[in-house]
Amino acid sequence: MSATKKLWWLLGLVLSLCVSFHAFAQYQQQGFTTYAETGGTISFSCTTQCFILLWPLGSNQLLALKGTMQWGGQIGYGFLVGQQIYPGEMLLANGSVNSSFVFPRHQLFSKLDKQQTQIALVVNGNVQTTDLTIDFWKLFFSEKVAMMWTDFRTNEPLRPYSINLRYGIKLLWTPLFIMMYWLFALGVVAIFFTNRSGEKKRSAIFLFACVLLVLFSLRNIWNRTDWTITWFTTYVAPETDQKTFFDLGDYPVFIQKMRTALSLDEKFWATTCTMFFDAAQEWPFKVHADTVYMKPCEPAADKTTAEYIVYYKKPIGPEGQGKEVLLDWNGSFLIRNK
Amino acid sequence: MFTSGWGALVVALLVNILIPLIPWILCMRLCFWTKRNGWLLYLISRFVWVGVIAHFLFTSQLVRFSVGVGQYVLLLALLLGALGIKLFVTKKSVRTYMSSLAISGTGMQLWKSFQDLTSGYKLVTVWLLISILRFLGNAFVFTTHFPTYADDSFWNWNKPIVNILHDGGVHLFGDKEVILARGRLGYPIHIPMYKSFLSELLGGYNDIYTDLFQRLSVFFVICFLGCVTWKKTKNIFWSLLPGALIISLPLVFLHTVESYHDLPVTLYAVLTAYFFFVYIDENDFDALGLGVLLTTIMANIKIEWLLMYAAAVVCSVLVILFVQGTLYARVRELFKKSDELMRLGAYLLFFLLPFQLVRISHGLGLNPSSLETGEVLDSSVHREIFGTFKAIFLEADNYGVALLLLVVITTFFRPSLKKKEYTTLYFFLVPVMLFVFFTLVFLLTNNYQWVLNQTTVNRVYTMVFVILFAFIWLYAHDLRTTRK
Repeated sequence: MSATKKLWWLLGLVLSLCVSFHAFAQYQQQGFTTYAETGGTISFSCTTQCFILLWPLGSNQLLALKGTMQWGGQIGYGFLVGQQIYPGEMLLANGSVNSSFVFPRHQLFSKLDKQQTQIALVVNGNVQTTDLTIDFWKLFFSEKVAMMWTDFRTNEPLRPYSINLRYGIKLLWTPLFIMMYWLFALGVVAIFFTNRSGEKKRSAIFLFACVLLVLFSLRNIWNRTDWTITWFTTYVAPETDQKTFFDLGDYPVFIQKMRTALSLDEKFWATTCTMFFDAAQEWPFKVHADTVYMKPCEPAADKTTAEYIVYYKKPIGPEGQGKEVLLDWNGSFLIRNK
Repeated sequence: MFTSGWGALVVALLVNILIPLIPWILCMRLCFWTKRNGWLLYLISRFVWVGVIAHFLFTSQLVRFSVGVGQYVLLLALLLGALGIKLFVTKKSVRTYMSSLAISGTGMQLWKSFQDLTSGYKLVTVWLLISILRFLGNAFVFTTHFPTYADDSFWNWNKPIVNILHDGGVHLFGDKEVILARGRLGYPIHIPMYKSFLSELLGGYNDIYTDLFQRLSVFFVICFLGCVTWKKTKNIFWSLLPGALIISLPLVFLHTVESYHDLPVTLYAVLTAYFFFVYIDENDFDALGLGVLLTTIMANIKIEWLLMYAAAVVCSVLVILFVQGTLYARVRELFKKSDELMRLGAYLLFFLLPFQLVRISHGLGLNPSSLETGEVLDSSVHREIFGTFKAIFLEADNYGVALLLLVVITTFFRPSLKKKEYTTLYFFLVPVMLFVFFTLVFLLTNNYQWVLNQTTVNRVYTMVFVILFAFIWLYAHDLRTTRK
């Protein structure tokens, strides 16, 4: 066998090994109670916060998740830089997931070192699945066009951080308003080549900017209207037990039931009590309850000293076993502890 | 807690709108502008009144630990007494104070102004009107059933409200665990007290209707800007433009319907800037008084007032007067008018001193950062924030429209510069100064972290554009081409 042939065989062997290793290698993962990969399907059980390390930033453009979930939290992606994970977009994992994320469209991209950053799948809360598939690939031109159209039609959801951040509509990676700037620049050039007077040119530029503003605000209004429709159809119109409020789910309804069960609104000015609010997902449920929704009760330091214990989207723990259950609704419980 | 419905909504609206109506006649006519347009006065009086009642509720805690209807009635009685004395001394009837409400003929003028526009401007004007009405309608719909949603609202603002209601007032002295409604110690407590007062009138804490304060504030400021622009331009396009631009900023909608106070403090800054402008333009001491009064009320809304909003407005006034060459003469004139000087001093003492004393007594000083205690300045200059500016302005969506409009405004700003229209330049200078002061605070204090993780930086810079858009009409209203 000639040296050249040997070299080709060696190269082929190395490539095969690489492919084999790639095919059989499991993702690095962290935090799962149980985790297994079988033929491209992942099963796991997560109780708090878990991660699966996927690939370096820039090597793929699209992440698609599909699978059946058991309720309890969120699933999405984040960016691992060093030991820190910067959060990206998240979905509620309630029943099933069949969604795609396009990278990079998030607020932290510019400050990340693209060479050092990896995409991670992030799971928050009590989530179990037995058939999760993760697909990721680079996009062809036709896929990009289709994705741009999908991006344009996709509204930005309302989130608890929406008073601080609005990502806005992006067509793949480009914000819509950047395209508006290009249009504006072209329009200004076109106006300058017309035979108008200086004042009329200024006016035309201003009017053109206003027209662009109108077009841009149309998209914004569409988004706001979507929120309103979602809010009305899922929260305002349904019967009390069917109400869900954006990504908080049935939380406001449970809070109202909890307050009614303890008559907290009636004795707001007089009563003081202690409560421990335990939630499958501490943020924002426990935080909001501790700061406002359990008043006039004060948050207790632990379950043993609390007069009342709430298990929100959690089974009753050992501290609550055998105690009086004041409210049992939709997987959440209010227990009288003392 | 989540009680809603038409009956409760009507009560909430009456509480929010009618309660300031009576004190308007009493409070504003006693102090300001008997010669001014009544509607403008009503619009501004609502903001003054909210500040006055919120401050009164706070200061009454110094002598009596309770908050609510009792104090309100007491304040009303005091004002009624003062008005009675004034009427007796000046020998005028109440009718005199009601005369300037008339706005007859304005509807026809608006229609005529619309007809005079070129067809392009007509189309855009119709759209501006639709978008404003749609925004307000959308915000109103959210008003009826929308509970608090944003994280920051719970900790910073709603927690003090429920604690004030539960405790029956605010502990001003004692342990840090109990003072100032166990809230964020750096945050003024006045507006939560005002909201507690409204909650008491509504029969308990209501997680939905307490936020009417913000929503009505936006509505009133849009009306105010429309009125002052109409007064100056008599052009419906320019009158609608400021409000339409403000609501086009993506973050503004959530700040309108959520229980957060960045937007209210900015709206007070807009009004403050306007009245200082009237002072610069017309040398009107009533306007100067209102400007100072609104600045001091602004101090009781959010901690950033002094080192950001007030500093930006006051520095802009001083710079414009300086380049005009009238600074020395204005100061000298002010010092000659001892009654005006005393009035300004009284505002500063009455509105600023009590809360500052409480803060100083707890060692909080004038720290502008959101931390409760500690040094004002950080040990190093955080130049790393500049690395994130590209992402802030070009990758998040908050400034998409704003930056484009900035380019356009600058186009119109140049003629003003050539003509040395210093008063017009002033409105450009206020947001620029605000941007500079925001950036300085981020550079020099531990607030830099809010730039790096982009939590609050988006919303504070958005507020710069709110002020800029509020006065955009001044840059371009003289264009003749909007008319046929």
